[in-house]
Amino acid sequence: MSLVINSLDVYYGKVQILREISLKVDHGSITALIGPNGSGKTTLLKTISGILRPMKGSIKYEDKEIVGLQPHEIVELGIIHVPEGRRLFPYLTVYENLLLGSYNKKARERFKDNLERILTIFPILKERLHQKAGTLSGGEQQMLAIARALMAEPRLLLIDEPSLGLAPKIIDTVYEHIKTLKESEKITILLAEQNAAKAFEVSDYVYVLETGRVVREGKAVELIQDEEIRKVYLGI
Amino acid sequence: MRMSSLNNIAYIILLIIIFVLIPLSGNQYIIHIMILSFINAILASALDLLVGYTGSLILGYAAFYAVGAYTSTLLSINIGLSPWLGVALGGVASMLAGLAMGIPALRLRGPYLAISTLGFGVIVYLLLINLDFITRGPLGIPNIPPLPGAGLIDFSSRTSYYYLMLTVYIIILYILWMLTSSRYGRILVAMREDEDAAKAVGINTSLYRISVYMISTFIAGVSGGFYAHYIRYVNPDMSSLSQSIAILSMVLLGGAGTVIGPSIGAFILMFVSEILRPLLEYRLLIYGTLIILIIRFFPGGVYGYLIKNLVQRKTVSKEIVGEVKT
Repeated sequence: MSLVINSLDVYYGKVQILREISLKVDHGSITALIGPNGSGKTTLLKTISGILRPMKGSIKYEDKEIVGLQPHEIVELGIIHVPEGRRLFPYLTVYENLLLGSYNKKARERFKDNLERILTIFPILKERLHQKAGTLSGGEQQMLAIARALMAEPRLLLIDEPSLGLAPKIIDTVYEHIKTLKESEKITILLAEQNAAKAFEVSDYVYVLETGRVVREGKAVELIQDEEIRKVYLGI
Repeated sequence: MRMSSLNNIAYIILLIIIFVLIPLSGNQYIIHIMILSFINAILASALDLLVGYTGSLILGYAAFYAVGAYTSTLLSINIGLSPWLGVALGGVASMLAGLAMGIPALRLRGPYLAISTLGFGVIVYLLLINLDFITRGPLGIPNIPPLPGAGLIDFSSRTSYYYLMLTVYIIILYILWMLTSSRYGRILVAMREDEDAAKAVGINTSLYRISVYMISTFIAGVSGGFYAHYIRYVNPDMSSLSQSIAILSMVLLGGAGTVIGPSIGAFILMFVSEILRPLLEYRLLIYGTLIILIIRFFPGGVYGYLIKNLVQRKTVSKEIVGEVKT
């Protein structure tokens, strides 16, 4: 197991957002969190990456407890977060964004090799290398957000809403890339996604969140057969 | 950038030559205003590291200037410490004050940070007035020893102080230029643009925020020390709100988030306030109006405006991003 979360409770002030969340992420898999707005997907990812602190519960990454570590320490363990809404540094160039991506010491030493490799995965970024990140299109920005995370040499990638605000065709391209990461880069991926159809298509295992609880879980191929899931999340 | 860098070097050399030649005019009044301009330009550039590069609106910044000035003054008068060492220790004292403000302010952003730094400025101001057994209160401290000369150079003469301040100014601007165009500077900008994203790529944002406070307030303290040993009189007004607003006006007028902008602002405001000396009572009114007009019409300041309209019409310049994020 890459990531094991056990009965996690997270609060914003007095409001409880996550209740007794437990989940597992297998090595080399794509695991998806689906659920409506406000179900706690983003909160969960933020808690894993150390931006939020849980009230109780544990998060074990490769058998190591990571609750209580600072975000930058978690990055050094190889868990990289691609935040919702891309969150690039718009006034810095594509190159500078990638440079900041390889902030940690190990990744910095291999910056050149990594850059070359990642630009072959995302050739569009090569053309845009010295352009300001803010001038890229939505799809390009999402690619850059993922590429920036890859520069840190992740072993577990947390991707929040990669389809947010993108045209259907672009969503397909982004997901093609996400699948490539799993297959050729052997990166474990945990993604939060409202676009349930897409999430089922790419992932191995799916957790359904509602109002901060895991209400359903299962292998993507099995869960998609479920009558209720089909009706509520896929509209079929 | 790359194509015009040769041009830039030519401009800089030209500017330095002009600066070097100014005292040859022998006009003591101009030399005096220039010295004050250098001191203020150093101070404004240091503030810009926080306002422009880190995106933290700091309102009580004059406090650090005053802490530097008073520390150096008191050490040289009471203990007889060499003013040279005093200036350096003034920087250190100011840096410690910066830490005292910076650590609790780590969690604050935007208007909350602005208000709490404003409070810090007021605290220092009141301390300088009320600790009158040390600071002589509102009377201020006169007869501060000048910087002792080194060899043939005597810094009590205006011309040699001019060259000293020119040198210090160039060195500090060069350091700031190196700092902001390095990886360190990029990390500051990344934090300004999106703090959570910066955390997400693994940047220890607290460490950088604290370190940039320390660098900035150290420079502010040093400029305060140089001021004290030049004017040879300090009073609590150095830490007043109007002083803080004046420094901030320089940064915004010249162009925040640029190395050279705050200096332009400092030179313009120093000379303008000399010309407007008969209107001295309305100084704050003028500064306030100026800030509003700049933010409304020239958010990149004078420098941003020049770059945008004269140098690079087509491509968006790296240097005109100097908006204050709240």
